[in-house]
Amino acid sequence: MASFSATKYRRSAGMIITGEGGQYASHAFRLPHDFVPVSKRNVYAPGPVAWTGSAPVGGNETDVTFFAGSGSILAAGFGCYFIDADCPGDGPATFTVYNYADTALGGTPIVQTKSAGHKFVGLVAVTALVAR
Amino acid sequence: MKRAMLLTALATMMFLALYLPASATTAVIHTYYSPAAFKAALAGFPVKAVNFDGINTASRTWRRSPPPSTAAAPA
Repeated sequence: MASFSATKYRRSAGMIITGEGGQYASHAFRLPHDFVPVSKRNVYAPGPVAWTGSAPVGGNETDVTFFAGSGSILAAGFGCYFIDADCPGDGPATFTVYNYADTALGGTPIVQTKSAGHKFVGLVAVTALVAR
Repeated sequence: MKRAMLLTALATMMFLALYLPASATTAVIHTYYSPAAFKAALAGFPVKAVNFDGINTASRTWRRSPPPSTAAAPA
């Protein structure tokens, strides 16, 4: 398990990935039967890193912002795999996309999988065409 | 879209397609459940992917909380 910088993928992929409490990658976060990577090596989670007594603590939000060169840009689409999203009652798995003014453009439905399952969801923004 | 905010415990393999006219503030959003269909919808756009596999995760300096409904993490 390892933390990584929010800007780690800015140059290579044009993304700044900011997890609530930090950004972490692991083979399976010690639960290999539940968290099975789609890409067969690592999965991602926002931080932080603790389990306090019997109460779960940790971040559940991740912001991804898009860049090209030195400037921020708009992306036409965004998608990801959700893993082991089998307990929506504990916290729904979803994502929302925003425009330049930080107004929500839309979002995914609550994503559910079977235990240890995974599901891809992608959103594509298409400029509305006006017929008349 | 300027930003995507995820609410989840875990995710892997993100895709990004660069460029959209800045005026697209009233965009129509289409949803795809297949990576192939998603990429097809973005044909012509450069697509970038992140799968986190280049990160050395050998460190055992911490452990992530298990989901509340999951039995205690293995020792």
